[in-house]
Amino acid sequence: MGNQGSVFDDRQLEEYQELTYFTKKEILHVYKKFRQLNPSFVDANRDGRLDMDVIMSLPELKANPFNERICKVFSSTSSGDMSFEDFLDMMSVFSEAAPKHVKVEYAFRIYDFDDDDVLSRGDLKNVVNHLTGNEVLEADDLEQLISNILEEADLDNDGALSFAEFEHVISKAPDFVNSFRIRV
Amino acid sequence: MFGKLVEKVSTLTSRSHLLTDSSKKLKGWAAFKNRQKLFWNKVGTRYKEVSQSFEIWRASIKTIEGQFGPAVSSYFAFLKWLFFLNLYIFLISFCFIIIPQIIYNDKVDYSTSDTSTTAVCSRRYKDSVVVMKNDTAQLVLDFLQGTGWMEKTLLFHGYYSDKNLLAGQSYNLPLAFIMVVIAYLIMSLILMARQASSALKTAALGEEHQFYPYCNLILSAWDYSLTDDDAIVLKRKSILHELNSSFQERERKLKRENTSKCALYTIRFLANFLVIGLLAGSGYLIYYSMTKATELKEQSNYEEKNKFIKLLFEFLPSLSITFLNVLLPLIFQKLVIVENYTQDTEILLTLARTVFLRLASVAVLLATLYGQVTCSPKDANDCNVGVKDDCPVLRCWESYVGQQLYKLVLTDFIAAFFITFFVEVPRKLIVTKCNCKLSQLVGQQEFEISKNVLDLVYGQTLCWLGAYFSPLIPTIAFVKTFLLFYIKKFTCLFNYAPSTRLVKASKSQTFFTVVLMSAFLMCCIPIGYIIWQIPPSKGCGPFRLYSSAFKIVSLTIDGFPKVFDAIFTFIGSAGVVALIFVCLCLGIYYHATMNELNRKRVIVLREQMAREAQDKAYLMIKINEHSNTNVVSRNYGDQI
Repeated sequence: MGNQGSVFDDRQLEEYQELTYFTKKEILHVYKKFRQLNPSFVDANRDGRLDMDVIMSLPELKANPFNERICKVFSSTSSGDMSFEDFLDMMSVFSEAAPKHVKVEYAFRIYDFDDDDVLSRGDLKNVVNHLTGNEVLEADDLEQLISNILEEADLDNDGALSFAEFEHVISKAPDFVNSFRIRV
Repeated sequence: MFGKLVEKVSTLTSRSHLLTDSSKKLKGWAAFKNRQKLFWNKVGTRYKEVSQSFEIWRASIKTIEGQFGPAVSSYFAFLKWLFFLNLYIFLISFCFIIIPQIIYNDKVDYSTSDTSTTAVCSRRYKDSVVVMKNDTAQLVLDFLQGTGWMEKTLLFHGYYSDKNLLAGQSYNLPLAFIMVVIAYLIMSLILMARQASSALKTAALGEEHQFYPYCNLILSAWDYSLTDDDAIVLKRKSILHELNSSFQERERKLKRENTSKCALYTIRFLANFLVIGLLAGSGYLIYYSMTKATELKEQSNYEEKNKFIKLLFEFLPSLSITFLNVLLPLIFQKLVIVENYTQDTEILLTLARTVFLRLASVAVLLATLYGQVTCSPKDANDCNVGVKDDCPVLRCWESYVGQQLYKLVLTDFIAAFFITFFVEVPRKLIVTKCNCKLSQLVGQQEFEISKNVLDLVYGQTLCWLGAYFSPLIPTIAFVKTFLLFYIKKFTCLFNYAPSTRLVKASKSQTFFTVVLMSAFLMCCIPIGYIIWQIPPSKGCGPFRLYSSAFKIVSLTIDGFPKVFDAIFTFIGSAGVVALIFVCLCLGIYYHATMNELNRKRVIVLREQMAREAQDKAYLMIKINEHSNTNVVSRNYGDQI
């Protein structure tokens, strides 16, 4: 990758640096990762969009139970395909330097499967099922678990978690910042 | 800034236009403030770029995190942090003690015609160190023990000069020496405090997090950094396991209540009794090995003994400490299972016992050394060394203590190396290659963070303690942490399997800091006491002229202009100290009160929130009713 510097001019790098939580070096590194997903396509058209399947071949995403949701949330067309800027945006949010409130906001969007701006019982069930994978919890246990979660976090008793409630609970979770992180 | 803008503008480029647009509109003070903010942001990223070019092991930590999750990778981050800490300590001592000593090495000896006590004692000490240059085996042994030719090197305290180097425009080495010790202690404290403040913040969160166990379990469970397929399967399993066990916890509690309490308490009492017995026994073993080793050396026929046996005697204390550190934690682990505590208490209890063992073994060692150093009667005619039949003859006790610590550092490192390559690797091979009963019995090894962290903290304790007696120990520690990273990385990736239990990264980080802090305090007390109180050897080291090492500082302050003297006396006076104390107390009181108030406010706000929600629900019902009646009446109206 000798021609890395020439991919972006200085002004553009500066701009990216201001808009993300990355340094220039890290931005180039992210670009390298993006390019590796499909070198010939990216070389031909730097601003082109990679399909969701291609994006999900990134090792961290391949393994992630919420990979589809992540792609959709960060895709600027909400279809799951990503341009380099979308990809950079995603890596920036997952980076170590990103502040907690930004991470919380995106986590909320990822877990909000039906995009209705609250985590309803259905969303929570979806989250649990994605987490446990093939070995599904028994229906009774699942219901009980969801009720427990709502009992803890649903402060206004409306049967769903609003963003404020979600943020409140996550702010008390010491491990969230450590786990909601992908190192560059 | 980022997250807020996201709602309105979704692509990066459009966001950048927004940024430039918004900054154009600003005028006057606001524009100035904006420019300032941008400037500082730029400085921040610049700093980040520079510090990143010094960053090492980033890829290694990422690989490990990909397979083992953030808890294990936090151990490696801690190791890296210690590496840099040791690097700084090394740099300080290298620049201000070692280089001056090397440069002016030849000018520091006392002339043979000098008949002052110090000169005579220095000569006697020099003659007492036997160097056998022709015997290769002896040279190697001396290297391992820090005796013979090694004692006459930069490695030990006794070698350093007591004079103002470079006659004329003087470099005061003794003063530099003590300043370096104070500097590295303060620096370690500051760096640790920085680390601790963030760790304690998460710890405070952790206390509240027990109110939201299920939310935490689900909403912050997944490690987004995982890349390894096996690790993912395990992670899923561990989440499921945690869920199931949280369901069963209540049943288990009931069961525990049903089993006879009497039997349980008897078992626990016996176990604690055994632990205390083991701890006391190991303390005695260390003491015994120390005294025995010195006793054997004093024997008349010692010189005739086999070299290997001599080496064994020399290393008896360090070997027994290392041996105990390996063996006892294993016993503690088995013991705690019998005691039938909950899982959390189990981990905590084993930890507490192991920490105690670690710190106690160092404490016993120091106490024994203290006994040997301050042993009376002293021979006032012969440089204040101990009288031969009652006390060990230590012509330079600083170097002697340095040798003990040097041997410990060496043994500690060799043990880590040995255990990795001669215990863990064969075990891994047995488990994976052999399909017999033995392999099932032994089982896969998991990376035990707490035990490994304790090893690191123990090594760091030796470094802090040793740096005074042997200024090169930080260098050894720095090289050691560097190699240890690779050894541990190898063993982690090759020998260990990811944990089947959920391990919380935040919990372990708090634990690192607390243990390191207590170890640090444990080092500060003896070092402070030694500098302040114990008279240095008369024939060696930078402080041989003074009645205590700290004397050099007070002498220097006496040499300052009167104003400084007055300032120092003023700061040290009782009135000022009392005032500061009162201010601190007031501060604590204020914060405690605010804390209490905030807690009450939280309760009130929470009630208010619930009430608002009820209001909302009530209003919704009313609205629905109203609109229904409206619709009905409108329909009614239409019909008319």
